[in-house]
Amino acid sequence: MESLSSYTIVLNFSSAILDEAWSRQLIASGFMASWMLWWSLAGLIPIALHFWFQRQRREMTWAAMQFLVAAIQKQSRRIRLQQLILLLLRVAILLTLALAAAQPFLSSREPNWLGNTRPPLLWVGVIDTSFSMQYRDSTRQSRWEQGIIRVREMIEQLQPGDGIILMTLGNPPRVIFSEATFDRTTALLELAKLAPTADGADLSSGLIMLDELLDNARRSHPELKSQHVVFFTDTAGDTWNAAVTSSLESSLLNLTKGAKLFIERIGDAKNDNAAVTDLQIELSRNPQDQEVTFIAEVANFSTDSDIETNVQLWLDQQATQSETITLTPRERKKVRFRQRFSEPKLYRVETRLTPDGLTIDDRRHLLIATVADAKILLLEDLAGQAKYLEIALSGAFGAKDKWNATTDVQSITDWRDLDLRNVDLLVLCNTSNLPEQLPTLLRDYVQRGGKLLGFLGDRMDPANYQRLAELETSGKQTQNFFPLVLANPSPLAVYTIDARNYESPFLKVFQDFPDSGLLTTPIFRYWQLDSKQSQPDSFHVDLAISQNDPLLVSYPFGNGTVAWWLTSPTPQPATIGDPEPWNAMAAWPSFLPLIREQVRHLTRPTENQTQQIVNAPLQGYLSPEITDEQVNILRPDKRVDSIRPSPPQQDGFRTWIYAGNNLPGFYELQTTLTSSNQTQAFAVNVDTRESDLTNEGAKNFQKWFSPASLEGLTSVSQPDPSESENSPRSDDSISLLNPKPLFHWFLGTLLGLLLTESLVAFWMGRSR
Amino acid sequence: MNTQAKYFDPQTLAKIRSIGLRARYLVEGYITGMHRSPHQGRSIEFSQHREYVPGDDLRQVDWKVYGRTDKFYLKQYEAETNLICHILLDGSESMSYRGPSSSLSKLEYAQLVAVSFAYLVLSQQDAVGMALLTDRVNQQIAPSNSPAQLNNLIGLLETSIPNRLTTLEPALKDAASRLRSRGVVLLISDFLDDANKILQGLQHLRYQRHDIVMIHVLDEAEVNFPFDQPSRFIGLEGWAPMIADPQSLRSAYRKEVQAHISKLREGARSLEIDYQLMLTQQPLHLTLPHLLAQRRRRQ
Repeated sequence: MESLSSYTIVLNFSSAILDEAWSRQLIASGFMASWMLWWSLAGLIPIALHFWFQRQRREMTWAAMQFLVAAIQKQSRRIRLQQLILLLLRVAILLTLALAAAQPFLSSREPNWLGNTRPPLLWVGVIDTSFSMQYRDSTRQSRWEQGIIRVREMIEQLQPGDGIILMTLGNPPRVIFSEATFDRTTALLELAKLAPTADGADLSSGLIMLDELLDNARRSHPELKSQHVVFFTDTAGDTWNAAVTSSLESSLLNLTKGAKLFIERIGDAKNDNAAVTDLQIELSRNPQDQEVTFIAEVANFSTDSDIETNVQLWLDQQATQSETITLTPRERKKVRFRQRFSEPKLYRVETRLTPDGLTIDDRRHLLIATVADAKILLLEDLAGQAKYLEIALSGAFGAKDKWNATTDVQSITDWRDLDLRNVDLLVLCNTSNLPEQLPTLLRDYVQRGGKLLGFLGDRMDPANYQRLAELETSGKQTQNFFPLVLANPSPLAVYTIDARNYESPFLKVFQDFPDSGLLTTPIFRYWQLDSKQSQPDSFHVDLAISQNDPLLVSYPFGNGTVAWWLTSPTPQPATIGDPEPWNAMAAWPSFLPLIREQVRHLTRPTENQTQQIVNAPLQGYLSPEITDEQVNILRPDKRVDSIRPSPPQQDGFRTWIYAGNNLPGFYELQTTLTSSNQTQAFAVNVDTRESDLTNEGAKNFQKWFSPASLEGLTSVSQPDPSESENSPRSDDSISLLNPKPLFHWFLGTLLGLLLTESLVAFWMGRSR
Repeated sequence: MNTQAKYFDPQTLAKIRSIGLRARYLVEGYITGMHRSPHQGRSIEFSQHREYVPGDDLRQVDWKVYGRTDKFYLKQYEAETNLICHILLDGSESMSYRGPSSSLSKLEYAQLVAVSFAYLVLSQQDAVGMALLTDRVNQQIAPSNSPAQLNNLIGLLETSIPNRLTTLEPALKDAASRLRSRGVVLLISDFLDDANKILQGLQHLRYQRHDIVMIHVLDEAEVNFPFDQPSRFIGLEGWAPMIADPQSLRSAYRKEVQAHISKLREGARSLEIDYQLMLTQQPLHLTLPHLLAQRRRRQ
């Protein structure tokens, strides 16, 4: 319809017939909705009705013809004139209506009585929807509101015949009109529906999309000789401050070959803004006695102003602590809050700042799940392999011991009966073989958020465990489930432990106590890795043997964590191969605290798995007992969206993905079995790279955009009246004089005709 | 229904009989009594001869004159005679028109008027005759006061066929030449002709010193032209069809009709002729007594 609605007639008159100057002036005229001209045929209707009624007269016999004839002779001329006037009025009404609906326009080189001065062009408005546009300056109007006003003004100043395309520069960029519209009203209506986002803007993708739009427009509307692209943006944030990459440069070069680029700078140069750039749980120490330390990082993005702000900690919609800080320009500070939790549940944690010009980055969200006691499941394929671990991990030792884990030992042969839904930690105790489907079960368990701790001792078969490495990973998971390539057991010797500077949080307790026994733990044998095939970057070495061979490694996998001891869990003699025990770790005094600290670290309150950035999809798992065909997501704006989970996996769990998290805040999955114990929730935050309102980076783009516009012009330059009549007009000069649309003239004429027809018909009726 | 009953609306009869019909001037007739007649009748004193016309009493023929002249002449005596009423009925095609809201055509209405008058005259033992006019006197029954006269008149009416074309002036001239006995001439017509010519025709009758009553029968639609829809009017008596918008012509048409009626009325007054406009929707028991009362007041 849009391609049909634009119709330009280039009038070319012979100079012998018309004045040459006038013929050169008239460049283009026509109708923007020429298909409406078909309605002008409706003007034939009154004429057809006139003749049809004449043929369809009622007939009657009449005796007093002499009086009728006499009356007709006296009235005929007047009647004919009246009927002719009415007929002409009615035809004119219909014709005028059809012409008005066809939206006629005129444009010429010289200003005509409509004020049009240039050929029609394609005008593309690119509107920055990144959240920096929500900044409110001293005028109390946000940059977004100011930008929309500017877009509207520019659209209204376009001439009839100009094509309009709108797109947003967001993440991702979005096209409003894929085909140019010539109807300003439609463009303004769509403009009114736009809203800023809580995300940044992808300039690179936006330029690629723009290039495609312009290409299509050139093919569809060759009559639009020039293309003008205006970016409505504050030139701030990550969008413009990032470096100009080669691909970006290439895109801009390509664009400027066929179009002119302008930037309409929105907002002033003020860049005072503070934001919470990070919120996390302190991992340097394990949480003790249900007390957790939160670290909030606050940044001042201003380049010239100090900012004083009050930083508050909120728990479940209640403020609990606050601290006032002052930040110098460009300074970042960390604020710590220690919080004790009274009951085990999922807590919604927020950090809030004093609201400033940009409020969307003044809050940051976090979820923390505290658990009453860890549930630990130990698997063994030979009785006794889990014994020492079970002793170390179950029960409290003394009245002051606040250890509160429960343990359970099962044979690995009973793996089919395993119920891992409530297991916080799964321990493989020197098992030799992994049954057929167990690797997949383990992978899925960890991916969902489970914790796996394995002891690889004398009974372990490397080839069998290699099956773990061959498991397929899904989605964005790139980490191998078993990145270790085991070579051979080490020679039998007395090895010492290297604590690797106590980098791992659970080793901190030993840092101040070098005689605690950790470093002297007797290790006689361990599995050595094949250095050529292993992936040293894919795991973290918590403990090593003094020769730098890993002894204890850990790595995240999915939502969970995996840790491997490359030695036996028991000081008993080996049951396979050389009967010498592999270590005396379990008999050493450091064993208990070491194992407990490691388990406490593995089962600590988690937060990172449920934190996401705006528009990064949320995903989770539904346990088999949840059979809902559809589940709901409760959004921060209280709206509820429904999603369908995927088909069940082997273990009965179903995955779900939600990609509609376009607002910061808490999102909660709701099912028919939702309870405090089974709540799946996510904390979504903005990417605070967009919070930096400086726009120094925009200068990097100067050479592709009109220089005048980058200096803050709010309108494109007017045509130079001193230019001669014969010189071609530069495309730089876009006339934005206000044309008087022909449509309104026709509409006014139509109203006049309607009024006249009514008056004439009334007068004729009275005069009968 | 009995023929006579068809023509006699009981209400009509009841109204007319109570008033009676009287001649305003001296008329000649057959029954002595109430009327003064300038004509010589059957009295002792011989007055003069007049030429015989069909229908005259053969007993009055002067056979001596016939012997001498081979022509029939009647003896006239000075005597008081009865009223003679000549009913002249327009038999033109235009009289067959019946309007959309009328139950009677003009001809049917005129026939009713004619028969009503005839009955009244006959009930007073006066004589009544009738003639049908087209462009001349088409059919005629001589005045008589016999009881069978009414049936004769009714028979004439029932067998009459509306003629296509009627011009009243020559018809009235012809009628004037035929009506030898002075009397009351009741001319019933729609007078859809040139008013001047109609009046000229009436003058012929007036010269014969008849007491003329013009009963102008029209349909209400012909007077008011009440139509709304543009229509094709098919004229009677040879007029060409015409398409017209009644709404736009109504005012002018009414003016034409009223002008014609006024002209006839004025012309009739100047000729000392009684004029009465009757619309076919008007009940006879109101219009006829009104006419008769008017004449009575002028006596």
